[in-house]
Amino acid sequence: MSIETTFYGGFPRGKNFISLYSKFLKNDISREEFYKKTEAIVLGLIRKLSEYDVKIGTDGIFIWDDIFAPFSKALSSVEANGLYRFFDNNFYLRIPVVKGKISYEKCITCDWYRRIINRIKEERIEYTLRAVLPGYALFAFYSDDKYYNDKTRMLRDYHKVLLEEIESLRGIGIEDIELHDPALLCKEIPSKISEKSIDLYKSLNKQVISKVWVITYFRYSYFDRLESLIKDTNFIIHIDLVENSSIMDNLLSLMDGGTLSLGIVDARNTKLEKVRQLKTIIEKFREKVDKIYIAPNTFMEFIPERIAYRKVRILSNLSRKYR
Amino acid sequence: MFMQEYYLPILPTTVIGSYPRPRWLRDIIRRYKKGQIKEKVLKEAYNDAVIAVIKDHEIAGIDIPSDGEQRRDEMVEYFAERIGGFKFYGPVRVWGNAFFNKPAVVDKLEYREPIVVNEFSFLQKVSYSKIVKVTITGPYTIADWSFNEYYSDKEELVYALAEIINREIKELEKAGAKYVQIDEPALPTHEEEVEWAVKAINKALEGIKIKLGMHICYGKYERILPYVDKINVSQFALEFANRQFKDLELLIEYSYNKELGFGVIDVHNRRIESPLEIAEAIRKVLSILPPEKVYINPDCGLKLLPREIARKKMENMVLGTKLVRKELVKAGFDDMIVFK
Ligand SMILES: [Zn+2]
Repeated sequence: MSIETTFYGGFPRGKNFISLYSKFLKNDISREEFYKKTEAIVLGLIRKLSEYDVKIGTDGIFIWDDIFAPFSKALSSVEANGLYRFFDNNFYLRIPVVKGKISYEKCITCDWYRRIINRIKEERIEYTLRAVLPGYALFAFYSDDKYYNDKTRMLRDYHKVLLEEIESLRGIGIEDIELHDPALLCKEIPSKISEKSIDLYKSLNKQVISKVWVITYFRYSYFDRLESLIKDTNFIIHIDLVENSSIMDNLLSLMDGGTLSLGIVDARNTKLEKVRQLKTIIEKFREKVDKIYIAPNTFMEFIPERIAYRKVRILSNLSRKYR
Repeated sequence: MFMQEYYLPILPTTVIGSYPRPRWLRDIIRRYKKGQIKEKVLKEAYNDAVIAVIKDHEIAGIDIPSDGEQRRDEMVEYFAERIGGFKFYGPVRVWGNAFFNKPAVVDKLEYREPIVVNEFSFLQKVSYSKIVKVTITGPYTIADWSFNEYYSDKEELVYALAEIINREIKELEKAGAKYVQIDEPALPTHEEEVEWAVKAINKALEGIKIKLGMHICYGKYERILPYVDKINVSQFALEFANRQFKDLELLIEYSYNKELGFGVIDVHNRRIESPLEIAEAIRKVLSILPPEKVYINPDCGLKLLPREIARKKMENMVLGTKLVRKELVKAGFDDMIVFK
């Protein structure tokens, strides 16, 4: 079994970026200057993470306001609207309002990602950049549908959009895509939507060349729905074991080789985990999988920056035990 | 013991708590943080800001003013800084580019000294009104907006905080406060926790004789309304304008029977409501509750609005209330109620 550290979605923003972004919002600096300085901040993050042996991850999505923006700008007939609570967190997002048939306009994030990829190459950092996108159930769960009257129909069009976006990203050299889907197994999700989402994930599996990671987190109410994704797709599935420790035996019984991502440090609390305790979890999977990615259970924007670095260091100390 | 009776106009007008800081105060705070200004100057500026805010409330005609929480940067941070056992690691994002210094509980919590008693005493001294509102962030909300590294679970943490908040309210009572509002905006967030949270909150209210209210906003009221009779406060101040007065029927559905602080001003919208539309909203609530049980207030704290707009919104709120008061007096109601 091999083991590697990674993280998903947003990384906590430091004071430098916060004041830079506020200057940009006030029009005190141009978009170009904002991007240039953000680029340096992101490169700093990636450099620091690679010192902790993190060789694959996101750019911290600093230019994203939330999981939907700016990606939703790539969709026609979709507008960002009212602030909504992101599950039970004191964290809010602008929900997509769907006012007409969804279709793909153009890749909004490609320019930005291209810059980061070039800088990673220039600086010869060993780091695989993964792009972040909202998964099916998450999109259905938070979107305000004023057109389709049936979110499963809406998801069929969303599927086409995802295919095009993933292809655009592959065009600029991003082969790894993470689809965040905390809604897929949550208590409030209508079964029709989560089942449709699972079907679409399976179609996606057949239709894309890129490596797809499905990132699930927070409390699961329907873990069994994930079984077919684990068994029947090539996707790397990320499981939140911090909030769902009770599914452990069930998960173990499903595994027979392959790759799995395990969220084992709590990205919603500042309390630091002990490497020794985490090791007992990993040991259970030793004979069951070929490769494990270890990661925080969810994206790390719920904790302050310095705690996020400490949590990553704990993970990398754990992975070093398996060198 | 003889308790002095206080009278208020029917449909008393009040505020939820926070009010925009004057521009000059924000400037002074900024310079203080850079080390350019002495603490003595900052303290004087805070006092002067409270005097200015009280004047705004007085001009608007608010019956029960607050100090606009001028000294508080944030409603949880302010308390966490003053209770032993908390630690700050840095900001976490709430949305967009808005951040919050989320505290972490790293040790046994400890009541060190009165937290807001000085705020109250100064406010009372400069207030035009005998009754002022003091706001306290409730134990559940402090816990929900903090990291817990020390207590075995959230419930244990909320109980520890409840003990501390209880001591603080007792200190306020001793200092002469007549009306304390517990702010619990987090209460509706985790449905499965409400049941024990209500018991813990009541610990914070134990043995208090002065008037207690509770403010909740922007949540699912269905989760709270089944518990209102179990929470030992006489009034709930709730946001209604932002939800276009949609959930008023819920008050009937759950046979709501306590005093209501009725939110008629949307604090997330810069449009200034007219006195006529405010009167219209009040008439709606009066079709559900008797007028002696209704106070009039904005949805939530006004601090995110420009000061000029906040003041105009308060003024129109009072004007709208006065329109309805006239109708009530004509209909035979007393023009005053007893504050209890
Ligand atoms: Zn509020």
